[in-house]
Formats: sequence, structure tokens, C-alpha cells
Amino acid sequence: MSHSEEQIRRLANGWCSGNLDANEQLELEEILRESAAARRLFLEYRSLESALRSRAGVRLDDTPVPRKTARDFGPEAIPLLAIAASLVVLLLGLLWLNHQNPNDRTVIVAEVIGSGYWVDHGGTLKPLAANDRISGGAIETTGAASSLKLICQDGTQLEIEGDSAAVLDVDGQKFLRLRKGTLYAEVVPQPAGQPFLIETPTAKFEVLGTRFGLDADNEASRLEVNEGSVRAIRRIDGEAVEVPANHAIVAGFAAGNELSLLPRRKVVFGWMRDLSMGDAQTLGEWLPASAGNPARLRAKSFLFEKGDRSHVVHRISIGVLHEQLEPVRLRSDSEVLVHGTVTRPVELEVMLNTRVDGRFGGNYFYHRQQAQEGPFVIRAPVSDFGGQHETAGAIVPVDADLRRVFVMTVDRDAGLEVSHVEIIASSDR
Amino acid sequence: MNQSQSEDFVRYFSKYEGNVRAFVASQLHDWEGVDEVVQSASLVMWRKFDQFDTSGEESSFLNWAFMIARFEVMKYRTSRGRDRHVFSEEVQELLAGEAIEVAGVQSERERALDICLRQLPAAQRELVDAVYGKGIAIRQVAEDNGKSATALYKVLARIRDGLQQCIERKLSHPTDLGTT
Repeated sequence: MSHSEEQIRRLANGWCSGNLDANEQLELEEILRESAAARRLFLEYRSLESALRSRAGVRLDDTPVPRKTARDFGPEAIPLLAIAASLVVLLLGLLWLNHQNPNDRTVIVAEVIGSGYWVDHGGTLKPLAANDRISGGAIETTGAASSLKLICQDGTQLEIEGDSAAVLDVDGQKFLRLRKGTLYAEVVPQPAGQPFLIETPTAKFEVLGTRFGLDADNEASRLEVNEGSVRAIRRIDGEAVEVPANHAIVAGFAAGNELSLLPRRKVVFGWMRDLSMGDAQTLGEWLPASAGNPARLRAKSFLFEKGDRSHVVHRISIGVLHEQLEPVRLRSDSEVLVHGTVTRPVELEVMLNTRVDGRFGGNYFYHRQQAQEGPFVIRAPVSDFGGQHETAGAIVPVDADLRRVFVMTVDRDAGLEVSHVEIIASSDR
Repeated sequence: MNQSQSEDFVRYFSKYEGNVRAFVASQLHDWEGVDEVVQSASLVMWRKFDQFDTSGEESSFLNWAFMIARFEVMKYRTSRGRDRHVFSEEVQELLAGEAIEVAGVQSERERALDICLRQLPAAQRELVDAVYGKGIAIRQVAEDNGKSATALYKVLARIRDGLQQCIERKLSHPTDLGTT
């Protein structure tokens, strides 16, 4: 385009917010007349503004907003409210016609990031896409950066992320078996006597209506309740406890002792993990200290397929949640420190998996740290991490809680081993 | 319209309302007008839905809906006369032709926006939440935070730029590896 992109962005942005003076309006019109690329960018800004405005009443953390009255909005908003209300009434009426079947078992796939799959009733594995409708069954997400958001007909929202496998049954009383992985749920009040039942390899949970996060593998389940309460039952001995808001429990194989309630503690800003104490909450092959080498994790390979593309990812991963009760919060001055070795030159990538307010908070990548053969040290400020599909540094994981750290090479096995991962905060607040 | 058609209409309209709104918003400057036109267009679609062939491609609903919305936009403009934010007929026509393509991917854009919003720093997220989510006037937000409305407009413009560029990157890499 003959005009600078910056100029077009400024004018399009200004037009959306109604801040252009008469000269700028003429300038914009002239540019739009001449340039198809400018028209495209202008329309994209306008559609962004439309999407933002259609979020009225929806908070960004998706929690309900206190109901407002027309008085709260001021007189200028009343016509808008009336229009919006009449449209809502029309659509609700139509939706009422549409949803007269109380046994509706449809689950809507609201969002898919990375790879999500569903096994239909014929046993066929199908990749999931947003707006798909499924009726329960086996569900999988593959790859640490994948996530899947499902919405049941009653409004219950389920987010499954990472390498997770679950079976969902929404025919009558809801049931979900989380064989492995991570679930975040916002469960609307369930009918009396019919709690939403959730099973993991080590625990069972009864949910009547609440928000919570759950991590599960073969050895332990960690439940963290954000709102309401959840009844937790340890499978090995039947020990049960009611878990209230802002508390967590870890249910594993240790039978006989009480299932302790762990109050959520204030956040910390520093965290360190070497591998000397073993391989809990890690992915990779754990190697004990020997011959001058510290204990470490050796990368394991993983085939990732999406569409017609396949990649072999060689990765290690270290979790934060199970071993540390205090959330590790990332802030603008945080740095990520990784010590390890490679056996040949390679580009390394680091990924931070985060949570915000207990739910999936995004994955952030630090790309293309070139390492030579031998020991390497990565020291990267979180401001150099970029969101999924982003170029580094665009939008950073500040104010998010760290859940897992991944170090990896893609399509090149360089014998990656990692001995130490640390989050450094230069000063405490 | 029979029960089955009612259900089809609800399904189509629920799915594509954001696209229709974006299309209308690309033609009009004032948001009251956008709301009014989307409402009138939805009522026209509802009344005429039995003329729509539901056996074809689902995407044909969008073309049909855009055609009705375009007509409603023209009716609205005629009823309001010209204001200084309205472009010439020539530019309006150019924009209308290209708006179909942009608004056609509004669902993808909204999904990308959700992710981009989550990645905003907390202070920016709170500002967007206040202005767009809660509908609080910018001058009120400025007063509450001891800042000038002009300063907040500038901050919002920067946020909008950041979100737009974030969405562009996401839409340009739909099959990016993005996982491990």
C-alpha cells in the first residue's frame, strides 16, 4: 500500500473510537478509496470493535457481572438496552422452541486450541473443531499446548487441556472419567440428588455446582476449588472430605491418614526445581546423579500430528502444582533459568503453561535459543515469551501463575537433558 | 414457519449473529444504528426464513443474511441522512463489497480475540473489562482512576492496536505447531 501501515492503523483506530477530526476523516476516506489493503485493515479494526462491544455483560475472566439496572447505565443507554432486550427476548423465545427436549445430550465444542479428538458412537476418531456438537463419549487432547472447551446444554463449562483423556456421559446425571490430564470446570447447579460425578484413577468427586480445577494421573489427583464446594473421596480407602472454596486436596495412594484440606496460600514469585529429589510431576526419563553429572531429565520423543503435518518433539517437562502449594506468579521482572546439555547444536524452545484465577491462562513460548554441543544455560525474561502462535515478546505471561515448564527441540533429537529450572524474581514486592 | 424451520433459524442465527453484526458495523459508524439494523435485519430474516433453502451449503446463510443486512443498512442511512462520519457512496460501495469477506470469518476472529484478551496484562484487561464488559463510560473510568479521558482513549487505542495485531498473527498461523 502506498500509505504507511502505521498511518492506516492510526486512522482506522481513531475512526472506531470516534476521535478523528474533519481533516483526518477526509484523509481516511482518500486512503480507503485508493487502497484495497487499507480497506481490509479498516474493516478488520471495525470488526474488532464490533466483537469487543458484543462482549457487554461478559467479564474477561468469564465470571458473572453484578446485574445492572437501567439507572446504572445512565439515560443515554436506555434505548440501547431496550433494543438489546427485545433482541434477547426474540432469541430466547426461539431458543425455548428449540430446546424443549429435556433429555438433550448435545455438548457444544466452544473452542479448540491445538489438537482435540472425539470418538463417536461408531468408534471413529474425529478431530474436533469449534462449533462441533457431540453427545458425550471419549475425548482427548494431545500436546501440552492443546485445550478444548465444552459447553453442556445446562450451561456447565468444561475445559480439558494438555495431554488429557476423558470419557464424558451427559445422558441424565452427568459423569466424567478423567483418566489423565487437567480439567477446569464451571458446573451450574445440578438437579437434587444428581451431582455431577467425576472419577480419576485415584479419587471420586461429587459436584453440585461450583468452579474448580483438577489434575490427575495414575498416582495422584489434585483438586483445587475456586468457588462452592466439592465432595472428594479417595478411592484406595474411601476417605472422604468436603473441599470448600479456596482449598485444595491431593488424593493418592497413601491410605489410612486423613485427606487433608490445604488452604490456598498467597502467591510466591520465585521457584526452583533441580532433579535431585526424583521425578515427581515430570515428563522425561529421570537419571540419577552420577560421575559428576547432576540428576537430570532426558527428553522423550513425542509425535505431534495436526492436519497433514507431523513433527517429532523431544521434550522434558516439570510441573509446579503438585509439589508446591503456593502458586508461582510470573511478573514483569521474572526470569526463567534453565540448565542442561545437548549432544549436538540445536535450537531450543521453552514453553510456560500458566493459569489465571485457577483456569487455563495460556501457553507462552520462548523460541530459537541456539545451543552448541555441551552444557547450555537459558536465561530469559518472561517479557521475551510470546503467546501461542505469537512472535516472542508480543504479549507476555505477566500476572499468570506458572503450572508447568517445558524445554524442547522440534524435529531434531539432540540428546536434550535438563538438570535445573528456576523462576527468578529480581525483587520481592 | 414450522418447528423444524424455527430450530434451523435459531441454530443459524446463533452461530452467525456475530458475523452479521460485524458486517453491519463495517457499514455504519454509530453503534445505536448497528444495534437497530441488526435487530431489524434479524426480524426480516425470521419472517423470510421459509424462503431460504436450508438444503444447500450452510455458508449460504451468511450470504443471504448479509444481503438482507445490506438492504437494512441502506434503509437506515436513508432515514438518518448524512453525518460527517459517513463516507462517500463510492467508498461505501467498496467497503460493502469487501466487508463480506472480513465479516465471513468473524467467528474465527472472535475466538482469536478471546485468546488475545486472556494474554493482556492485568491492568489492560481490567480497562477493557470496564469499558466493554461492564459498559462504564470512559470519562467515568478516567475519573475513578484519577486520569484524563484523553489519556485513557490513547491507552485504549494502543490496546486495540495490540489486539488487532495479535488477531492478525493468530489468523495467519491457523495450523502453526503451537503444541508440544
